[in-house]
Amino acid sequence: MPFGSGSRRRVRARRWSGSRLVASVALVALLAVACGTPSEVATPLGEGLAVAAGGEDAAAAAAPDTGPEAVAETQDAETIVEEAAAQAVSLPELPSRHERQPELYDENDCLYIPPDEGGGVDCGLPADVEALLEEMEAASLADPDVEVTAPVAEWRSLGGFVGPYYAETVSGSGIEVLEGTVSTAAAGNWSAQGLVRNELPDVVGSVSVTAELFDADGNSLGTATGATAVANTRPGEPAPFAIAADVPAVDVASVAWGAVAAPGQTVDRNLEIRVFRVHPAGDRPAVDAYFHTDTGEGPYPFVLFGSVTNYGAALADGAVAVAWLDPDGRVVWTERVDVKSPADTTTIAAGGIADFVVVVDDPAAPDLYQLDAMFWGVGR
Amino acid sequence: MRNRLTVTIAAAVATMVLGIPAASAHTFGSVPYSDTLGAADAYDNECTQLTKNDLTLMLLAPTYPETGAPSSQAPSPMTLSRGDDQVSLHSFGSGSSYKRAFWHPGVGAWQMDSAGLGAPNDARKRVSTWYSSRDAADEMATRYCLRRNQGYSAASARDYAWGPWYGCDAGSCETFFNGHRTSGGGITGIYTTSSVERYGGVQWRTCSIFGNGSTFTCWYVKPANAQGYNGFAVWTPLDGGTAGSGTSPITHPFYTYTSSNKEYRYWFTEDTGYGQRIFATRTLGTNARGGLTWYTWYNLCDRSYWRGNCSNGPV
Repeated sequence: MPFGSGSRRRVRARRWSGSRLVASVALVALLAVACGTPSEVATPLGEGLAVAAGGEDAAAAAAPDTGPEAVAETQDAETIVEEAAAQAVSLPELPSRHERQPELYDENDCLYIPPDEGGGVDCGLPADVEALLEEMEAASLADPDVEVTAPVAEWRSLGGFVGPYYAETVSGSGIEVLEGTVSTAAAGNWSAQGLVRNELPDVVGSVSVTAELFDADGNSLGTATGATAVANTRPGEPAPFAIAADVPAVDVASVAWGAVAAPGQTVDRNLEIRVFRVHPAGDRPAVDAYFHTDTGEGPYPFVLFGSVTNYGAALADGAVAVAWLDPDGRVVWTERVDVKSPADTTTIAAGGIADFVVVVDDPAAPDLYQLDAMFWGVGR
Repeated sequence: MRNRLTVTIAAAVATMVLGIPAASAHTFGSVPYSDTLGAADAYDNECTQLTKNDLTLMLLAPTYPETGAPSSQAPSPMTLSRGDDQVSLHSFGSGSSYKRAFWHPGVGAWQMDSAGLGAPNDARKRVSTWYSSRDAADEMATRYCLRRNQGYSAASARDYAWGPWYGCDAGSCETFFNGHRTSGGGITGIYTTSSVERYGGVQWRTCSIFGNGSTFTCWYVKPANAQGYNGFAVWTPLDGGTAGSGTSPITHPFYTYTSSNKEYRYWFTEDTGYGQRIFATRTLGTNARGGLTWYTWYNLCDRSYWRGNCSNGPV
């Protein structure tokens, strides 16, 4: 992942948590939904209700329903938002090791020891040692004599997700554009790639990301809009987007971000995502496998091959979205591909598997082999 | 499984041993072979079309190209990948300092990688042929049977089952399979050697954390001690040259164990010659590429030989 030298951070005592772009005015549009009674919160969102933006102008643009009445409600609603802040979410953890490999792990996820090594189970180190290690590592973060290099954000392997930026708590503020993950084109027409995160306590559907572009004098140059590659984004989950506008990048001095979510639908994305092979673009030995065959003498494209295992209910239209991060944790490339089951369909049977292969031969692509990749497994 | 380089090495070795017929004998460690048979026996019931012998051959096939072992030498269970050279695997993500304090993501005879099949397992479990053969058997049997149950031929299903292993590209594993399978479904041409053990030269040690009296088992991985084909340990340049160039360094010896769902690897100054103590961690289940945290100290003591930090605090 991240990473080259710049892909990592020197840690002292705190973890980077991503940039928040939620403007206070933008919050208003969320309040009726995010701050309702528990039963109201559980209700699917109304169209255009989940909004977050990077400026008042953008907020107004992205939240057209936010009128004077809504603004008048700000005080009370903000109070409610504060009460709802840092609401814990249930991470979509994968099944236990025992559930996945009962031949190798007991009910406590302890590893069976081979009979000729004495048998029994290996449940880890003595508790006092494990506790001591945790304490000492935490202490080292604050020790000026110890240098710690850690990922830009904690990586997780969850059901239907692999990568950083998945939050354990949500603020209730809506769909948040993680500005720290956004990269923009330096030349040509303006374009951007990045992540949003669902800061609501409910699943949201398709997320539309909007960027209003301004010149140095504050004049609007245009608006770029696009949907995230992952629908039914769960609470705390990030999702990738890529948008572009017919505006020269050099003319853009500032951007106001917004995001609007459609009603969501709870989908059991209990998918374990695994990457088996990654082959760099360029001159390299050819790939000749059932899922891909390089032709000609090369240079060859970037090839990534992996598989998802479905521990939940059957999923139709299975797909995998991928976002590559630069050393600073910014999204620099995205792809989305359909999966292929053993029956050569995009349906992932319950308990079944499906493979995916990403082939990138775009000369504009960065060296994806050197970059860390996030993955989403999706379906319906 | 993602090891570009070892496949290249394997190709070079195969070229040197010209004229290997499809049915040439192959050597495998005796205990690793026994482990492989046991794994095949444990997972051959995934579907009726899969036999223990066939699954055994399917399991053995990728170990040669994945480790680079020629037919005359047993694949080393200690094999560490040399073709995974992402900068993020280098110490402190820099690729410039302490080059041979390198985190190899692919480990073992089946080259289980932290991005995929090896993600849940630490280095010890991926070295052990008892565990790794079972992980590989689980994967291969599942893939084979799911494909077979869709009406595909046995050969097509094997191709599907071997998909995760680059070493099986271009039909190389199918050639191995057919060369060692008798017409009656038996196994032929596999010879075992007791010189290659389950852990391939990885040693058990008794360790402790400085300031704590409890002891536990840790594992000492010294590439120079690799049993079987050790091409991965001697392939030059040992420091990998320029980070990201395609060839990774070969690590200096390191200690490893798992605690609180994290895999630890320690590079002792006695082993590296560096003036810097180093250790790194990876949360099990995550990819080492991007998932590593590096520290410029350690508090591990090897009580078997009184090496490491046995008397001093962090420096």
